[in-house]
Amino acid sequence: MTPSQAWTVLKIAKTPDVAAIRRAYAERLKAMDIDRDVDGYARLREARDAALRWARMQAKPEAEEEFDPFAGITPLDEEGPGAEADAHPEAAPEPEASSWLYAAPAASGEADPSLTTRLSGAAPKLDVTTGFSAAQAPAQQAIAVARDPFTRPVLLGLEATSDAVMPAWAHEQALYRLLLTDLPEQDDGQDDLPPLQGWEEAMALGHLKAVLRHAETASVTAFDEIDNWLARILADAWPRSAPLLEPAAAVFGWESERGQVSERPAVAFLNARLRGLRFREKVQDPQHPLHKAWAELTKPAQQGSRKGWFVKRADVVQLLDGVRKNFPELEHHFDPWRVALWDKPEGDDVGTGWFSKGRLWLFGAIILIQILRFAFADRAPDTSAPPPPVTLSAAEIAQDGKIIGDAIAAIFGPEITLEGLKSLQPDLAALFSANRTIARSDGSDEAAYRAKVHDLVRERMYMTALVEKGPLLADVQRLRADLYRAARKAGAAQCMAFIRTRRLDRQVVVPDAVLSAERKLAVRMLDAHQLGPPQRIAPGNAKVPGELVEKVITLTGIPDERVRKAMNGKGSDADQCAVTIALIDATLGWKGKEREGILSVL
Amino acid sequence: MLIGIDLGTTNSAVALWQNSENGGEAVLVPNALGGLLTPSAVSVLPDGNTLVGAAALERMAMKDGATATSFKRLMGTDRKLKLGRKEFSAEELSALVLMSLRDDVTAHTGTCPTEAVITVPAYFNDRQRKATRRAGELAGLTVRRLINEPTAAALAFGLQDKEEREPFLVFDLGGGTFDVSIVEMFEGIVEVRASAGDNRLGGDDFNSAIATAVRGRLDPDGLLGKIDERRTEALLLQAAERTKRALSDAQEAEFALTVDGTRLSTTVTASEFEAQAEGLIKRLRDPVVRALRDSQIDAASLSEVVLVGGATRMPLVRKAITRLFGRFPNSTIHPDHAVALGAAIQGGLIARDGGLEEIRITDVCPFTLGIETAEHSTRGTVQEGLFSPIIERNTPVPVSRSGVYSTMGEKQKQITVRIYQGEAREVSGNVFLGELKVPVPPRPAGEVAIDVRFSYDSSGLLEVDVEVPLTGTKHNLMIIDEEDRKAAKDLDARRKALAALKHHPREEATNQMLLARAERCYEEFLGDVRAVVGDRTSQFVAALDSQDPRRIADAAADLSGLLDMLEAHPPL
Repeated sequence: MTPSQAWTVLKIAKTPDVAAIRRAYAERLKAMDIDRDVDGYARLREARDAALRWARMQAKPEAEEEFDPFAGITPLDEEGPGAEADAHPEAAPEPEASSWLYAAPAASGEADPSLTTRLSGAAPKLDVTTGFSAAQAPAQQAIAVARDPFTRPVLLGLEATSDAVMPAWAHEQALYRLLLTDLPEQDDGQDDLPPLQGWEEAMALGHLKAVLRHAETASVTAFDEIDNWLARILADAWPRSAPLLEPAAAVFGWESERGQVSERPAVAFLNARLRGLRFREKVQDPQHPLHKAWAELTKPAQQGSRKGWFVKRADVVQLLDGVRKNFPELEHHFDPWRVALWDKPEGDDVGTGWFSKGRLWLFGAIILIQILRFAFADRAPDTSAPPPPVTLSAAEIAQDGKIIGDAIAAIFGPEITLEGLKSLQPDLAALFSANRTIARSDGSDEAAYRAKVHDLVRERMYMTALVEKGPLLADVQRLRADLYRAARKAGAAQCMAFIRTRRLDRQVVVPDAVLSAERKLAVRMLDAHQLGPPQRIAPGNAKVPGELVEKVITLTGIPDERVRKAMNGKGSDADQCAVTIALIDATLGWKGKEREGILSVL
Repeated sequence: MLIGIDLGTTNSAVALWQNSENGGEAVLVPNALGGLLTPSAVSVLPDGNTLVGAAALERMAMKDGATATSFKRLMGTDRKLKLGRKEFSAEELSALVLMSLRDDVTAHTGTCPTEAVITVPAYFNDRQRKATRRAGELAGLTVRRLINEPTAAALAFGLQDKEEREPFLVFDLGGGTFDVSIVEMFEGIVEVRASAGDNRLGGDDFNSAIATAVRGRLDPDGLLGKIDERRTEALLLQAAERTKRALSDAQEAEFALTVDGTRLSTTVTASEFEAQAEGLIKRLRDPVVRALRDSQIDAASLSEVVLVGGATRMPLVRKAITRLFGRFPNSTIHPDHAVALGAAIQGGLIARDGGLEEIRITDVCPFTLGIETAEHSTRGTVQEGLFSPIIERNTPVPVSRSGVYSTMGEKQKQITVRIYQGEAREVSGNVFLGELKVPVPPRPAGEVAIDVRFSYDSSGLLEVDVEVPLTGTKHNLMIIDEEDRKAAKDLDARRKALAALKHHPREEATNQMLLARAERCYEEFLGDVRAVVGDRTSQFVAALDSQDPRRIADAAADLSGLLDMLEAHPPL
């Protein structure tokens, strides 16, 4: 309702006189039967409230404009509100216009200016009253413990004396600094605040105790302010604030607010964390019925790890289900590999319980199983039939030497010779020679020989990368994606043939850029003696999270169902080829925990 | 005649509005024993007669005491209490108390009242309010209005001087419930801005705290474990009540009780009591903070903190209040009388009595009211049982608000509107009030909308209207829950059953009280003392039988003198 309508409803002329507005309201109210005219009553109230608001604005326009939600909330002295008012001549904001009581913080995000207001209000008093010095770097602070008159009693646990030395607001400030401003150096890209270190935790708890004790003996107003302020900073500083949560929640009864319509967002955030913390603590006790399941899922897994033997499937399901439903933030404690192992439907479990729910996600995780680890073995050809003893002329030997040399140059670049290859990787050099002999004997041309040995080198690069993992695996997979792409240009069948048999069709034209990148990588691996005979690798599998599946769908433009099929080795060659390339691309550009697992099975 | 009744957990009181030349005033009506407060206690004697008030309370700790107290805490529940051979619900016991109060007014004024204003804790929920209303009807009173206790107290407080008042806070800690209301008075308007409370916190809890603290050291031989559990509890709680009162004036007090001739006693210090009650004191803060938040009023700008309820007499409660508000509370109104007086004033207002013309009260609905909904979660599942508020708590009443909801299923044929009251986001944490089944035309999900309108009147009655705009059909529901429907059906039968109970004649109340006291003392002592009590009691009963007033008066004086002496100086 606008003020102008309000005056009409109240039947008075526009006035800043609060008493006149109330009188008019009372007259109108007495003239009506509110039970019979509910809407009229509502209108009258609205008119009264609008008029009063307008009148107050006239009374003090500046106060209204520069309204600061936390003004006057600063230091809460032991003397109570009276003393506080003396210390802060600037009056508290007009209570009815005040909205700070609802100014609950967002669960995370940038510090709110209101927060700094509370602290900066206290700041000018620091030096005068106590000589409390500005923030120090953690290292210095650790050393300064003995000198610092405030931290010492806290560290010794003598909170009673610390009160005498340190007023409540100083504890608040110290706590704020510990949690949110004096942060130790941390790795880039780490979003979470680092946990409190031993001495930091002890100090933070000491300050918190003092703040809580003050709150408990303070007036309702101060109590409510501290309640809101603390909820906000603990939420902002999560997970750094974890050790402080229990004691604070106990004093302010945050848990009694849980599930209420009016639950403040910061409190809701903290309540969820609190329950998570408690559950984690409980489940770590070996007596807990789900302890084994917890231990199983949190144990770091390696490729080839199996499900724990003595773990009941029902327990794991219950744990996963419960964690996902109630404490989603706890899932990061689990090893994704293990979760994937258990997440797989097992026979009758399909379509029941949590799994069916999981399937309702837009794109569920897909288990990617390596279809074909080995198409062939690059054993030395002597495993089949020994090469027929052929006597070669000098010219033929020279010609073969040139062909081998050219092939090596094509694969590794001109700086690598057969001699060089012999010294760096003698078995590979032998493979080149042997294949040349075979090629000569069965009359294959030079290009066929070169393609054959190139395939062998590519195979070795690939197999080594699968074993070595790490950055090498990423580099090799990036290269392979380029090769698949090149193969696709010749046709989907050629692409799939290369994927399945590791044989690149001779019609495939590999772009020069790819070839030169390949050469560099090959030389690097050669120098590191990484092109030895391939080891046999057991087939593995990996979970492709929904997030990646979604990316693949976007990249390929292929519908969900076909992508799923392709990942399971079904569907058309074109689909499988496109999905494989997209999956490599997507995985390379992703930082999830399963990244390496996926790259190792592609 | 319209009377005002404070139906309390521990004590009840009745008042009426009396017109006079200078405007009129509310006055309390004394009971048969001359007291202004009637203990909310009901006892059934072995002969089947019922006793209400002080005499019933005397019987509480007796072997076959068959006495019920604090039954207000069970209002709105199905629990039955067994007294002697009969079972009673909390509302029936309340009805007996109301009948006794009604009879006091009849005796005092010569007219039998037919209508009443009854007070309820502000934080009483809809079920508890309904039960209270039924109790009034069982007692043969038409309940014109239920008003909130702190609102009644505010009326009594505000009308002392009829001055303008900036918002003040009524802190009402009774025997079993705790309420906080923020009230403003101007131009003859009494406006409740917000109410909050804890309907499971009161003076009784402080008694329990004392009893728990002393039990071990009071009774090292486990004597109390050998007698009936109910009796043990009654003995302990009565002793705790005495100790609590004594601690209001002293730094330490004796906690003593006599069981089958053995006197058990120990000492409780004020600081021990304080430590024991710390948890209860902490619970006082929450409703205060909530009421202040909801009304957006700063504690510092409150003009007064007005104390109501007997439990606010405790020094430790006053100390806590002083700390909470940073000032001393106002205790100018009688903590036990204010609520009944306020109810009588409200009665006067309803009857439009002279001197009260220009007063209007506006109250709030202290609970959130809404309906059950379901929604699609981010995971694609459907989450059911969610609470969608329509009327937010502390909205001024009467009020009418509506919300629009739509179907969720394909070709859904019916929408069930389930109505709840409470503050939890999930309906399972709230109080179910009733439901309405609304047929809708089968259409694709989300295409059929309904308009749900809640109308809440100043007596706390909720009406729900559902409209289907697509078809133009309208459905209406006065909230009558299952219990209410069942109760309404047999209300008459129950009223008759209660009326058929034999009540001790009012004029014998004093003698009944004396007899109950004598019986209690007889049980407490053994040996010679018991013999003397028994002897004097027989003489008194013989005097009663003789119907000779002089003889009765002498015997009564004799007996009560003996009892006074025994209670003041118990023989060890």
